[in-house]
Amino acid sequence: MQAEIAKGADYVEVRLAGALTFDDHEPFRQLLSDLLAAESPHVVLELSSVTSVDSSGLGMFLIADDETKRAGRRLTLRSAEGQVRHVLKLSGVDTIIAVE
Amino acid sequence: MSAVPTAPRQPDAIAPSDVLGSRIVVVDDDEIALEGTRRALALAGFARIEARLDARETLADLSALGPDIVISDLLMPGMDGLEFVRAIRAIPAYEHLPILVQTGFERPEERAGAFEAGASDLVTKPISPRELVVRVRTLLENRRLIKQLSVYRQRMDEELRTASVMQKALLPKDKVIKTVRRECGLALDAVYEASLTLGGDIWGLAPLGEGRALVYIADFSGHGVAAALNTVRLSTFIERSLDVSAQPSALLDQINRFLCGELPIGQFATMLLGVFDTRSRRFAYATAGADAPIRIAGAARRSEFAPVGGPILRLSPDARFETRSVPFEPGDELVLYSDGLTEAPHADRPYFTPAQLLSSASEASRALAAEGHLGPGVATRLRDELAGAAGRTLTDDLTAVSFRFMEPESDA
Repeated sequence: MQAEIAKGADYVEVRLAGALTFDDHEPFRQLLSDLLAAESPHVVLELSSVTSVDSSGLGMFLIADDETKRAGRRLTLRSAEGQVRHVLKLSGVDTIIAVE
Repeated sequence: MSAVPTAPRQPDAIAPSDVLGSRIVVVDDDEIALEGTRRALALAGFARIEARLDARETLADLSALGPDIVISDLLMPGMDGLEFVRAIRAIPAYEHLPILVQTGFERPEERAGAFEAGASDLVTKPISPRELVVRVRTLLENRRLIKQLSVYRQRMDEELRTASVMQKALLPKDKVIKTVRRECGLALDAVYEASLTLGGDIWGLAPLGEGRALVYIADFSGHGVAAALNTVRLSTFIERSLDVSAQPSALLDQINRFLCGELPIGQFATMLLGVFDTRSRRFAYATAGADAPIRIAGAARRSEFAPVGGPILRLSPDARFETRSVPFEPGDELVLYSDGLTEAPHADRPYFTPAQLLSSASEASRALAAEGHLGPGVATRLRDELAGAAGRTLTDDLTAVSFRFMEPESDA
């Protein structure tokens, strides 16, 4: 997993790239706390360069959703493609988290 | 879920006595230099020092001496220091023995030569007693820490192996499989492999009477210890608390509400749960984010995916599941599997694309029929095909279970 953070007027966006797996759990937690520290009302995970997501990766989205909600923010998953889009739909995660 | 239990106790503070009791073997053909080294170590408190003049004799006595560290000069008549170091390293028991080499050489290539021969560290002559003692202590302390780590690792491996045996004991026992075969006419073949000794997959089976049998397959997120503990929770809940008279969708609903109360956010499971009814000749099932089961039917052994839907378990307590059903006639086969089968990579892509999986399932079923249904079933054949193509190393847990509705005439 690679990540690049960009901050806009009322949102903070992180572009993730590569495969999102079990081994990314700790870096993702850190990334999440950086995103929440940015104090933007809207957190966006930009996924167009994410090649695949396994069950641990999907779990990370659910954790991100929970933590943004707790912090009174909202989360959007943007531009998921291929396997990632398929998994979000098959799992029903797209019914819980906003997917654009 | 990457948390690994830490050592229950801190490594002991490095007690001087631990290291000072180490057996030190010193080899130097120069008696004065040998005595200098011995004396420096003795003054530092080391009590078990064996000082030797000849490398070859020392090598012959080495196992009797049982050193914790060897200190050797390089330039010696007969067997020289480099030869001595290489000979020690060639003995498997001394692969990791600290060897400190003393040398008058200052040139980098000669120092490199000593390390290439297998020296752990090097001190330059004339030796400074203080430097010698510090290096010896460091080497011995490192050795002790490595030993401690390998003991810890060994213990963890043993515990994981024990836990793995316990986890496999949750899977259906032969007796249950035989009962289902006898009462329902279902022949079953199962594969269960964990990528990290313990796995996040589980499957189960229960005869319900009147030619019916309940089956489920579930895959918890992540893998390893945390996922394995979740398989225990699920299996216990199903065995103790599930009202199996309900429809598959209602059973998934019960399981989902149970898991919503048990699992932390970020952990979840995919699942398929179904009931074979061999009298009405149907398989009724409900799924939660699970891969579509494969149904193989007809003389041509045509394969197709049965429809699936429904969110993963633990996503929401209000989630809705649907009971679906497909025909299941004598001669038909049904294959349930976890995503370890469909996501296992081969040359960076999943080996079993949906089309490949269907054609391999048909092929496996034909081969099984050609062998008079005596060989391994479809589940084993699919696993073997995957292992042959993608290699034996699993990156995820893999479970596959195939059921064949036996035809009375050919299976009698």
